[in-house]
Amino acid sequence: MNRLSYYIDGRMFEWVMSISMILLSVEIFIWPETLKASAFQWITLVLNTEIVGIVLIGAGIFRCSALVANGSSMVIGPRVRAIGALAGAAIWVQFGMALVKLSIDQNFPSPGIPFWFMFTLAELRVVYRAVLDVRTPR
Amino acid sequence: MFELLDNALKALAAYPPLAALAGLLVIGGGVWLMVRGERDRKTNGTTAQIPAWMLYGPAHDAMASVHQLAEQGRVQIHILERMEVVLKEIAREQLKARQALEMIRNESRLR
Repeated sequence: MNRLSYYIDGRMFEWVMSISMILLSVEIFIWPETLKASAFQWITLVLNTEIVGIVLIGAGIFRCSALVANGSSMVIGPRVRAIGALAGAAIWVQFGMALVKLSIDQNFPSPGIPFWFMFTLAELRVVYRAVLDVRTPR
Repeated sequence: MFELLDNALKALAAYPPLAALAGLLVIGGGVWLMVRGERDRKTNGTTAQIPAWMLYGPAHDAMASVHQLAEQGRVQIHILERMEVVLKEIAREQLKARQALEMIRNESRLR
């Protein structure tokens, strides 16, 4: 349990979002209709379902790898985390925008809107914070 | 509110350009944050991330230590003053004892 805490403490948000990305990509690959037939159908107008899946699984795996290797490479690891968080933010804003579009169509706001936009902002914060963790030899 | 947004969407022709714009804005913002993070790291490092309140504890302890030092100094001065009084008393007693001894010696010579 202590070993688990070593990896999770202070990086809980990144872990949760990374694992969610991987799980969602698996869901998209197994059931491509996940996006097409859901409230997020508008995303498919902007991004191909396969592209969303590939970006999610790629960013998710890279982020998890960087989090597991936490401390092993203080140059590459934090930058991978930052780029992964940026990819996450770009995807989450599409989810938020899709819900905005849905809300306009149905004339009342979706309860998911605050969550997706807050996820986007939090990922942007992770981008900034991860870059601060970079340690280059002097 | 929604009618306004709906009209705005219609004016922009469709949802995809707006969503793409939002995505580009987020990516642009993220890239700017990365650049800013690099700059802040080079100037401040992570020391700027240390919350100010973490320094309040040690500063408070140091102030308490200084107060204790002053109090101990005051007590030491009081003790030294008492020692000075006692030493003066001892010196006076020794002087009297010396005078007495000299008188005894002088009397013993006269006999």
